[in-house]
Amino acid sequence: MSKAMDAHRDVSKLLDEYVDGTLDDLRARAVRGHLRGCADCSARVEATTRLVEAAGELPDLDPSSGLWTKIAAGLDEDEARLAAHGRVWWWWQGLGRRFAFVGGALAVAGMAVWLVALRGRVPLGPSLQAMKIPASPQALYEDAVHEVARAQADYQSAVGDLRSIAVGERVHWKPEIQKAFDENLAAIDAAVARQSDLARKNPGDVAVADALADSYRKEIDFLQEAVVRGDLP
Amino acid sequence: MTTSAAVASLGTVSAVPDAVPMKSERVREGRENDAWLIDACRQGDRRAMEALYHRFKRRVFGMVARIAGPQDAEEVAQEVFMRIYRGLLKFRGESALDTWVYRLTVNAALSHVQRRPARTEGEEALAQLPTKEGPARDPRLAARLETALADLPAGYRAVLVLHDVEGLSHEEIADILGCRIGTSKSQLHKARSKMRGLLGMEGPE
Repeated sequence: MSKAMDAHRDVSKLLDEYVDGTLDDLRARAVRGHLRGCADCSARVEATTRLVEAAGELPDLDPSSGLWTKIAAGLDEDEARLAAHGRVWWWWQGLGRRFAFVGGALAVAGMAVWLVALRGRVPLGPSLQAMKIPASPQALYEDAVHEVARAQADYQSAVGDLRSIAVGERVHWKPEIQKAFDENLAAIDAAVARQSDLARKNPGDVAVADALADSYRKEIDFLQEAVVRGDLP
Repeated sequence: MTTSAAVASLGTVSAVPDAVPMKSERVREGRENDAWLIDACRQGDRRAMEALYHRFKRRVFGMVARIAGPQDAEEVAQEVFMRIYRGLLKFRGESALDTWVYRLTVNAALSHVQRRPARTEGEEALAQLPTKEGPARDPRLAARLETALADLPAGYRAVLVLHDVEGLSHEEIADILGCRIGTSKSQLHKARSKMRGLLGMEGPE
């Protein structure tokens, strides 16, 4: 293949960017040089330029004046649908913020425990030493353990609330749903009990605390789905 | 500025300007200005919701009409705005409001095209879209381009509309379509090539 053909192939890939004016100066100059001797590329640049100009000059399109009215009606329907939710939905929405807080607290507590554990094992670098953390490692550790315990207490409380709602709703479910619910809940309960036992034996172990929180979250997800499904007509 | 004060400062809703071509500096400034509008919409403030509608109506409707066809454009645009208001509750501002709105718009338009069995009268009706008399160098070319859009594959059509009609950059298009910048460039290259062919402007590659 000749050098001229190579140049043509390379330049033709750049023609769109050349038309858009997004090519760097040096390559733009090289393209201009090629265009002077290449009728095909020149024709393509001219056609693309006309195309882009025509596209840019297409008129704005206005929706009909009634579109907002339709949208506003849709918003009204949305709000009416929200207002028609059952009591489980209202309760659950109110709890949402609390869970966000619990999740955050657990993450912070976990990080603190991890930092304290790391501090005990790894010598601090100069920058960390310069920070001069005022509290003793033991105090930080105890605070972190306390935070984790408090987060777990919140999870337990939420699980208790959901369970009491599930008990009330359960009577309305079909027998096979009740059976599946009981079996699944028993399996989750067993997992939570195992993780709780481990957490008791290993206070301050972040991995164990995290696994326990994960079990609680699974239990909450399961109970939430069960009671919300039961709430549907 | 409190939300209510900010909404009040809008004056009449018709005073809210329509969306203007997105440039990076405008986007940065816009993010701060958008915060109160988003907040007011989340709280269900209808005036703020209407202000947001007027700000985006032309671009949303225009994109939908040109990507999905004008036949169902109002219905799809309505769906887009409902998704916007519902989605604002979860909008975290990871991208600019404009980019997020355009992403919802393009996704809804492309979904609509996919749901549709094949080429329909809606696409045929692209030819009926109005062509404003104006400074166009070749108004007939603009009209033919509008018609020929319907003959492009939907993906090409989306990139061509976003880049050449709406004036968005490849970076913005990649963000909207969730693809790489290089993919946006190569799709545009193919779309323009196909369009030149449709308009009888195609010379040898």
